[in-house]
Amino acid sequence: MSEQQAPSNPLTRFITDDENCWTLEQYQTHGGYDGLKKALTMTSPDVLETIKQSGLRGRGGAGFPTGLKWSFVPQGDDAPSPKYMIVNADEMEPGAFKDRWLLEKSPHQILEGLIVGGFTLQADIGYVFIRGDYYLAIERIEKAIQECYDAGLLGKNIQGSGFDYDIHIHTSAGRYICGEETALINSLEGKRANPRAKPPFPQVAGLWGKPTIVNNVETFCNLPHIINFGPDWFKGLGRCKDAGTKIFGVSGRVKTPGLWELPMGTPIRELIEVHGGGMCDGYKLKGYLPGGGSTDFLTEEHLDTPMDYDEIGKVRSRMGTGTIIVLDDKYCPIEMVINLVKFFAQESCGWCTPCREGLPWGVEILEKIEQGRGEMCDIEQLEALTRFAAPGNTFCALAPGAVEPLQSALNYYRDDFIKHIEQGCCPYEAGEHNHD
Amino acid sequence: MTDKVTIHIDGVAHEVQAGINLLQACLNLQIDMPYFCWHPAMGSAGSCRQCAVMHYQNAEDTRGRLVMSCMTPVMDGMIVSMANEKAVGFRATAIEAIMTNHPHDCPVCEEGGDCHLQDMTLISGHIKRQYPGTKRTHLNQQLGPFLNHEMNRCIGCYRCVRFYKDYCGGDDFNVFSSRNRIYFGRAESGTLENEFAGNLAEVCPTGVFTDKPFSLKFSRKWDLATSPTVCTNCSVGCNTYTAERGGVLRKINNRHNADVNAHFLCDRGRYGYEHVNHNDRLEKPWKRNNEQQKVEVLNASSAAKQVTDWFSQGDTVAVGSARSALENNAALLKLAGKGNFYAGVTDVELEQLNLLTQAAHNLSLLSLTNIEKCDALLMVGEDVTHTAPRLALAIRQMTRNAGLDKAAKFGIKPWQDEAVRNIAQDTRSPFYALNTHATRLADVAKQNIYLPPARQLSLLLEVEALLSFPDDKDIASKEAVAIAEDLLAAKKPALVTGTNGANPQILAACIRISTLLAQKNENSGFYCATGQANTMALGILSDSNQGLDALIKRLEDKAPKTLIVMETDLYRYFSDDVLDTLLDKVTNIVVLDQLLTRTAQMADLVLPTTSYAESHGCWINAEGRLQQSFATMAAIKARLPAVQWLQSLSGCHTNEQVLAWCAQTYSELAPVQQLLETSGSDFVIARQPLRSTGRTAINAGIDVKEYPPAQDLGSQLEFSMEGVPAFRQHQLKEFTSPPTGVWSPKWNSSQGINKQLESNDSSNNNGILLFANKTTDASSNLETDKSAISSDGLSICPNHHIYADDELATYSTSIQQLIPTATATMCQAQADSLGVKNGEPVAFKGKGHSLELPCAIMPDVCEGVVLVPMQQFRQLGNKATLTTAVRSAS
Repeated sequence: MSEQQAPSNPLTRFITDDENCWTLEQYQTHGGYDGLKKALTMTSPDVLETIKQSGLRGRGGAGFPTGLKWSFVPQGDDAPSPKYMIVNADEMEPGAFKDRWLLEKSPHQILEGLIVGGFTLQADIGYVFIRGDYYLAIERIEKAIQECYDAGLLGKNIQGSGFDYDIHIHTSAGRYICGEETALINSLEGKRANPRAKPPFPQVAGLWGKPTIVNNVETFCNLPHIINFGPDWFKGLGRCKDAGTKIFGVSGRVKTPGLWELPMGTPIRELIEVHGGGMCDGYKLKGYLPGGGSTDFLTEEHLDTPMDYDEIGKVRSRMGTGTIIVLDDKYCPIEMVINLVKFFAQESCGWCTPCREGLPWGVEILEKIEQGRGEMCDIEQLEALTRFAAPGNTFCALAPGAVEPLQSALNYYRDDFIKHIEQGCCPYEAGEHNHD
Repeated sequence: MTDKVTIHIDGVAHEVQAGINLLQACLNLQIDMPYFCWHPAMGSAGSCRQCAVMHYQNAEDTRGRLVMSCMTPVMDGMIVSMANEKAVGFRATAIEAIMTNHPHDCPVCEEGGDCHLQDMTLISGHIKRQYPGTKRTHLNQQLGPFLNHEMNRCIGCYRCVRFYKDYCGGDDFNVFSSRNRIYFGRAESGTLENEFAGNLAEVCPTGVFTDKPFSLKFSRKWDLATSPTVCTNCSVGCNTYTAERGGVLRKINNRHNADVNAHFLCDRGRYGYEHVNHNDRLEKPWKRNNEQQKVEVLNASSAAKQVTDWFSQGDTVAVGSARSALENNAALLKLAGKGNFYAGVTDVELEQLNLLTQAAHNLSLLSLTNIEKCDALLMVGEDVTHTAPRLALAIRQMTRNAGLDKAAKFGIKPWQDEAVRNIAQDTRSPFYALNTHATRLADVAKQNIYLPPARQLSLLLEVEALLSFPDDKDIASKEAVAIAEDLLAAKKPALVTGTNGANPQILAACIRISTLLAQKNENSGFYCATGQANTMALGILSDSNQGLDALIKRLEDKAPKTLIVMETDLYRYFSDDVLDTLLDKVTNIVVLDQLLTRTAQMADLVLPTTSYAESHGCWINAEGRLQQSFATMAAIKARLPAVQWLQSLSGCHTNEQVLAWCAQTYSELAPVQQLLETSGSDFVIARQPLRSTGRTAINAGIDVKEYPPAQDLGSQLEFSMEGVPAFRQHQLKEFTSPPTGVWSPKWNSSQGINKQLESNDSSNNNGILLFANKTTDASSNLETDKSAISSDGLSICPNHHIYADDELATYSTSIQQLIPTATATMCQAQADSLGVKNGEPVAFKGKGHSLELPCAIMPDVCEGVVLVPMQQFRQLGNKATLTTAVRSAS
């Protein structure tokens, strides 16, 4: 185990520029599994304490403090058994492709995180719940799991620590709702992917009624580094209050769309203008969804907001997955909202009314407006529908997320709605055919 | 008593039961809170979002937070607002959204007027439809003879799938697809397999699932006259509402009785009523004239006189009925005398009934509600799904208790249905099914034990020994040890058996085990399903050795001059070969029955009787619960209740007089006095709802005169809309009958019953428990004849079937469609040892009768057993033998 210099890009430091990913041997040569090996020398409560101290927050979108979430898992001899750890790799958020990058390029990092997590909570079984369309990632994770078993990093008595742990891969049948942790658990049990009522929270009664932790790919990737380099190093990585780095992305009509690992708190302007290369020639920035398809639009005035969970919240959007979708001035915002709400309406599990009936109703009205058949009262109706699907009114977070781009579009691009209705057609040149 | 908490709803403080959810609390307070997905028996789902209210953290909180009242437990000091503008608006939007795909086809929908969705639409104040889009449409399925399917009306409340799959354990029904295209049905068209599927018509808040036989004789709810009745299709005695119009029985709905059926009926009970409307109903007294080879029609008085004449000649033998009311049986017994009264059941069944009635005072006979609360249960000797179906549904719920306990440790309340199921997973309270073959409860059993009766008995003897000497494990089988351990460890263990296995030895062993259990644990209990609706009454009234086999012996020894057979078809118990010659020897055969049975065809005098729907009567269920059933419609033609045909001979002219005689003569029936003591009042009760429209119109094509409604002299109920309507009846304490229907302002649907859950009925409406008084004079002979165990030969055992076994239910065309072909069922190994193949005939002999049945090979039948359908088994008797098994084998 070689002493390493603390990196500033922990998540991507194992990623090469070519199409390949590292084998176990290559990964270990570069310091892979050092975090795990260190964790195995510690006690589980110490590892959990380290994670708590690091200030790591869940990278799936909600930003819940990971250490706190994990501390709800019952421990001790009379705790229920087995316990489960699940990597949520069912990435389907519109505009998000960060997990795919990590899955394809750095599978061992995820497994290492999953094993560290398992050790932390003395779990028995880990699952990688992965989007079925990620063929390459599935292939690579499967290979990596086998390599781990062969090297004694999985199975009985891992590295002589007395810790037993198995990892299985589950390829999802492809529903956006499986990203919701309780729907994911139902799906894993072979049931309909409907979210579950909470309480009980999965930490105490999840998969097959046993304590279960579900976290995003990126969250798990952080764990080995936090153990390896310590919580203070991790906290120091952030530029704002939030700790660590994050994979940020920009898509839309920017010059160089892509993904970058950057410190938490990197301002949006820097992401779009520096890393994304600014708007393509001839296009102006009209707005952007800061954290994927289910977050509220922000506009030019918010460009200096740091990408930090609380700061984005203050300007009434969400950091979500940290993958920005840019809207330019030549694309009809209503068209963009239709595209998103339609997706979410289609992905509704059909359990609760606001989502099942409210979202398709919203799509009906939006299409009516886009096609020039809109009436002024439709705007009120749309607003009523966004209130109908507000957080707390629905069974899970799908519908509230789905109406976020709609409610913010009604706020920032109200003129566009009125113009559609007044002119009886879409005022944007290419209109409905304005697809890239 | 249960704990109470105080909650504040719109500034008014209410004291409500602790531990329940806010929706239930509101409904108990008669607050009109709209809801869809919640159901009192199935708890909360949180899917419809219709019951939203504003919840305030404290008195200072002015903003509040919308919560779904069905998902929110009541808490002391809780402040909520139903009237809050946001809450009202949200509920209005919720129902408007729910209705976006509903076709608004109320005028042609059979649910109209009896529709929870209509009720909720009004309560939620949804008036304007603003949805601009087209509606999604679905293809419907053929779901069998009981239910219509109209998926376009679906509002996606998930109650059907939660009932069918989660509550009943059915696996051929599900929710398919997603988003607003969710589809509730089967994977493909086909008859719903579950025995409780018919409840979907009531569980569904709108017209997706409607009662198919009712469709054929449909009437709007407001034109139906309804009375509280007791189901006569098995020994459980579920409470029902029977509805009629124009003298035609239209439909049966569930009537809530917290101690018996609560919210659900089985399909035999729901659809087994068509005998009332059947073409074979007898209309007039018929007298056989052998000289002229014709049938004379008599009037009522000359018919009654004829019976009196024959009776006065002496030498009369009478046969009572397990499907007739207590009053009829008692009147017949009174006139014939004990020695000449034969119960309309086999000797074996009567022997078992006597074991049961003698032991009943020492055992704690459980109600179905109490069965649901048990935490360990042993079911012995029969699959109650087929013999007492509602009991099986209670047992299924009982297995959930361990899971509910587990959930409670997480602070999850029993009504948080999805959460409980997610925590419970496969955790079940121990339930053992000991039978000759697989039961319909096999999926929830801890262990299914399939043994021939003799070995069942020896296992029971081991369990019995272990209960007394728990440490003697080495001499007992693994199964016996597991059963005994679970029964002893349980807080509320129960044993469920029945008389339908026709094995008194097993019943005696079960009673001994239950007695032992009761000595060790006062919360233990027992349930023994009996044959038919009033079998228990016969068990109380008649002595042992006075069953039908004894009758046959008597007929063989010396035929009586007169034989009066009441509502029993002897041909169900004996074959033609046996009966024809014996009946020929009787000079005068009087048959009182509602239907032209085989026995009625042999009669010299036929007296048409009323069905349960046209007469008042008392029924005693398997747990000794005496319940009153009230006539739905007036008797027409020359039909009379048997009590009235026999009045001059019995000396009892009314039901009350018969009951008074019963109370004096039989110590078990002394509690009947309670019924007689409740004085009537001047008020009358309406059978028809306030808005009945069809009274004058329905016969207008025949006669435009408006005739006065028929008089009901036997109760306070009126055959009209005159009198106190159903929804006010509970306010009038002097009434002794349960409400005549479910119809109250804003709550037109039958589901309005859900509002009245908390009302504690102090009257006799839940029935009178005849064996409630404990005595200690256990003197019955319960010893096991050890020779019964050693018989190693082949056992011929009854194969019960929910739709095939009940005489009256089989008159329903819907039920007839589901009666399986009669077969001799056995496992492959048994067939091999007999040398028969699937479909080849197997021959049987018993009670002077022989018959052949095709062999059917089924897994999960134990070796050493051949199963014969109950009907054939009854005719062969329980000493039947296999004659020549093999005829073919090429």
